[in-house]
Amino acid sequence: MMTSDKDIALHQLKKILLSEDEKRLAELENELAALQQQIADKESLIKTLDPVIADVLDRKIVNSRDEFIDIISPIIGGSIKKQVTEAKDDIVDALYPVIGKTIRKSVAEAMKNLVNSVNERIEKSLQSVNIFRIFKSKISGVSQGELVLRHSMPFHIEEMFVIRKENALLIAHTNAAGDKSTVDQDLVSGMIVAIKNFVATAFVKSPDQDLYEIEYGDHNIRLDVQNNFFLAAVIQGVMPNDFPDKLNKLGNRIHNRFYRTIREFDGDPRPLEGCIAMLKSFMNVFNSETSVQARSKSKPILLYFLIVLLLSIGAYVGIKTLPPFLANHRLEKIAQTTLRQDAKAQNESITVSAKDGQLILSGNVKSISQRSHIDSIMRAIPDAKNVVNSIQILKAQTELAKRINQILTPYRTSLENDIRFIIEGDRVILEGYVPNPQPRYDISRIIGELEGVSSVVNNLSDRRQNDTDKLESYLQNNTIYFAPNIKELDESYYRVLDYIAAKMMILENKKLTITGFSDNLASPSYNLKLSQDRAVVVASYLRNKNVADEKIDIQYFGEDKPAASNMTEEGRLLNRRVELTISGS
Amino acid sequence: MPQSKAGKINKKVCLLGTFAVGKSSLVRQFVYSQFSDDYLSTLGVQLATKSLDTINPETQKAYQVNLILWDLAQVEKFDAVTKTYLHGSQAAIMVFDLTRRASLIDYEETISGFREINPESKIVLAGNKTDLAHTEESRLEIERIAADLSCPVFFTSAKTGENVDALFHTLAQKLL
Repeated sequence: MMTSDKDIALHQLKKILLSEDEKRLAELENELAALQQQIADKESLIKTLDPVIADVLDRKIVNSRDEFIDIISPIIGGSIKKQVTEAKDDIVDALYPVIGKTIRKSVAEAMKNLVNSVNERIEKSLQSVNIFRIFKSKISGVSQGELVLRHSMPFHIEEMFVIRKENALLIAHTNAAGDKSTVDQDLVSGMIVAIKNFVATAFVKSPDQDLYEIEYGDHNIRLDVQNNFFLAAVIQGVMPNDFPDKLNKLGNRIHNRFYRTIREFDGDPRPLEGCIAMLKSFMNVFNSETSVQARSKSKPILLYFLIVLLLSIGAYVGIKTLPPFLANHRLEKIAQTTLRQDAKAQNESITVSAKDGQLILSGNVKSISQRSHIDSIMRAIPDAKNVVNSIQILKAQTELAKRINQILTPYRTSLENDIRFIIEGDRVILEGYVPNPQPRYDISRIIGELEGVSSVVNNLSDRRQNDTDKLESYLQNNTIYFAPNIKELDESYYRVLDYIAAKMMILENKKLTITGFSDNLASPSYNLKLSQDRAVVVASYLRNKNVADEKIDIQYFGEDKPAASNMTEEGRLLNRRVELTISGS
Repeated sequence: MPQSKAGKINKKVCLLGTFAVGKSSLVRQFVYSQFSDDYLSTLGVQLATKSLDTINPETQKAYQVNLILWDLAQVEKFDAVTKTYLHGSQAAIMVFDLTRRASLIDYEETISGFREINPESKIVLAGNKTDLAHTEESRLEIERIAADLSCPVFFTSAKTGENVDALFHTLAQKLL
């Protein structure tokens, strides 16, 4: 009994002492059960941990930003890339409202400025300039809108370079500052090619890609790539849409005229000086508008005077004739500027006028090559439809002619002794009849010793010439020459061909052989056709002057049988020719 | 005495040689002013021009030769970009450092790479840095290379200007 009582007492004591612990244990069991339930319920767990983990991560990212980026970038980057690839359209849709709005705002701002500029210019220009613009638009074929834009956004060619492709050597250069550039052009041309080669080698993956433009600020270097050379134009302002095309056409013209010389270029630019004239003509066309604009800005009185003058002329000659007048005036001005700026032509007394888009040249020069040079720079003017070259070669330099006449007087003792002479540059051609061989020799020797005479062509004969002899002699001294790539007959030869036609009319049983030739500045097949065309043009002229068809025979040899070396401009000039010979009993 | 004066003739010349042999210093010494320091780091080439009057010894004609000097940054091995800079070069100056025999090692590869692109070009050698202490062996080695290549050699100092004008004048004459 005693033991049982003790047990009861112990139990009660335990109950008294441990009741709190049991209660706490029961509570802990309940909490444990609740936690187990929470862990099993993931949603609930995330809800619980979220604030804690987010806070920890925030602190970790701030403290170890670079490390964190290194770790997470490959994962996130790949994931984003994948998402972007898979959901391009969704992303565009999502971003469009934001980006599109920004772009629209920028474009609207730019357009607003442009419109303001255009409006301002239109308002300032008054009606008279609008009329001028209408004329100009009709003349040039450029829309009024584009003209307004060109005035609002001026464009100016500052410098032009022709650069040998292979070695970056400068072939020709000109600038708007009148060749007073402080920059070393050889250095610039080298750098342009270095940049071009660098880009081509480093970035260009396909052969049809190329570098056509280098942009810096409001300046651009626009490049035209030809087979053996680059044509580079340093421009300022907004480039007209047709500029690259026009630059390319200029490049083609330079190529057609000089491709062999450029291919053989060894660093001596003199054989290629003709390029400079072509560059200047091209530059004048684009810069003349800018300079007119600049003048009108600085001298409004002059502008008003010009407007009044234009309107007066318009009223006088009628509104329909004004646009061609302006076009011709502009063409004339460009041609005159080109002549003034050309080192070879600036000292010559050449008169230039324009009619129906044609340039008409007159005056005197000392040599055929000079005449040809002026012809080629005029033909290089893009707006010139044709060039009528009536420049006379100064055949009788007054003093020399007087002296020769004095020498010939003693030999002209009778009407039969008909001695004539022609001065061509420093060459004197003698023709006519002398009674015996001695005066024939003496005259040639004395004239040959005169100052300014380098050679004498002695066609004097000691036997009386009949019509056939006369014509033969005349034909030997009268070859028909042509400008580069031109088949049309120059007006200065009409007189020569009229004489030949008159002689052929009275000569029976004689046949005239007309033979065409060319230089070598194009492909052989092209040159063959060109030489044929030249011969045909001469034949057609003679037929129109009543020379019978059966008396004419046409031959052509292209660049074969050159009269002189094609390596020089002088030589090529002599090769672009039509020769005439007579045959028959 | 020259009989007549001809015009200005442009000639492209490349400077070859390993790093720090004094290529740029030679150009700077010769050219003085027209020098494009800024471009080297970007494109791997810097250009300079210098005109000099010279006479063709055969014809006795006077010429103004305008040398367009292409100073290449990396010439030990010609990469694709460098090769484009060498094209059309009418002459090259191969520069060695007299004080550094290592600069004499890879010249054959450089010369043959250049000749492959420009087989007809002239070459002139320059043993540079005569103002610094150097061994007679280096001079003899460069002279031997010049004999092998059959080209003239000049011992120059870009610092003092010794023989620099002579180097470029000889080159200009060879280009006529």
